[in-house]
Amino acid sequence: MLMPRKPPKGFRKPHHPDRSGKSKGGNRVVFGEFGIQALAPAYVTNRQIESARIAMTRHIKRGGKVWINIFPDQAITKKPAETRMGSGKGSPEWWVANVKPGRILFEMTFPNETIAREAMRRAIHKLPMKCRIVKREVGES
Amino acid sequence: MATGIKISAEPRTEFGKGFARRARKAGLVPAVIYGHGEAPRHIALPAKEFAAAIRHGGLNTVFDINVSDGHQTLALPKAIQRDPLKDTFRHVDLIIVKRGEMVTVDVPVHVVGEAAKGTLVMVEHDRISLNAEALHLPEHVDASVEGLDTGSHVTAGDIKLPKGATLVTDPETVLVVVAHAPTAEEMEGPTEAAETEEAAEGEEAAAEEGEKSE
Repeated sequence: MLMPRKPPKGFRKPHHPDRSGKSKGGNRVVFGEFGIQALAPAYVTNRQIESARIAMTRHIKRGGKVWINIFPDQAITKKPAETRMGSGKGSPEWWVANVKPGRILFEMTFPNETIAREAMRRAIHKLPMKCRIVKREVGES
Repeated sequence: MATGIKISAEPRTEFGKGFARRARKAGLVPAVIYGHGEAPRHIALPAKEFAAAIRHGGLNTVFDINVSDGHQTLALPKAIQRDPLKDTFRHVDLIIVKRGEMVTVDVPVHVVGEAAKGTLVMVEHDRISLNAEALHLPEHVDASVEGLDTGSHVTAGDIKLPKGATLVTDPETVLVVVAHAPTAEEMEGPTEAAETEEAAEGEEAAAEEGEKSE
C-alpha cells in the first residue's frame, strides 16, 4: 500500500488537513485517456486507493495502464479504545490523501472505452466520496 | 475550421470577483480583448453562444466580435479559464488578429489508425504549436499510428501539416509512443511486491520514531 517512507520531522501527528475549497490543480486528465474526478472533499486512505486500483486492474486484466495521481501523505491519529481524555495525542493510525472537489484521482488508458468505464465505475465504489468519470479532451490538458 | 464566428458582446464597466460572479450568473463570460498595441477592452460574452462556438469549432475559433458600443474586431482565444467541476467558462483572454496575419496557435493532435496487436498507444503530448494564417487555422492535425509496433513513436516532425502552416514545436518532440501492452501479471505483480517492501520500510521507520518519542 502507498505510504511515505518516513514522515518529515514534526509531521508524524499533524492536525487534521483543511477540507475547504476546491482543488487548485490536478483537475484535468493529462496522462491517460480517462480519469476519475472527485466531486466532494474526502480523506482517501491508502487502503481505499489500493482497493480502487485493484478493482480497475482486475477488470481490465491486461492491455491497459493505470496512473494514481494522489498520494496518502497525511497521517491521521486515533486514541485507543476505552482511554480517558488527555495524556497526549493518539498514535498515527491511517495515511490519507486530502482530496478536494475537482481533483483527478486516477487515470487510465485502455483501447475499449466501455470496459474502461466499467473498470472505473467499479473503482468509484471503493472510494469514500461521490466521483465521476471524465474523458480527456484533446488539446485541453 | 469555423472562422470569424459572429458574436455580440457588452462592454464591462464594473470589475472584480463580485461583478464577475454576477455576470456568470446572468449567463455571461467575462473577457478581455487586447493586442496590436490597442488598449485592453473589458467585455462580457454570452456564455451559451461562446460555449457552442468552442464546442463546434475548437479552441482556435476566430470570433468576429461586435461590442454594443460600436467596436468590431476579429479575435482569437488566447487563454481560457474553465471551471473543472461545472465545465463552464470563467474568463476568456482574446487577442486581436487581422486578416492575413500569421499567428502561432496550439493545435490538438488526433491519434488515428490502429497500432499492431499487443501494443498500447500512449499520448505524450496532445498539442503542437503551429504558425498559420489567422483565418485558416487547422482544427486539428492527425498522428497516424497505423501498423506501428512496440517501441516506435510519432514525433512532431512526422506530422503532415496543412498547407501554409509551419511547425513551431521542436520536431523531435515525441507525441505518441507505442508501447508493449502490459500483461495481467505485469499490471498486478510488481507494484504489489514493491509496495509491500515500501510499506514495511515505512512501518519500521514509524516504529523507530515512536520509540524515540516515547
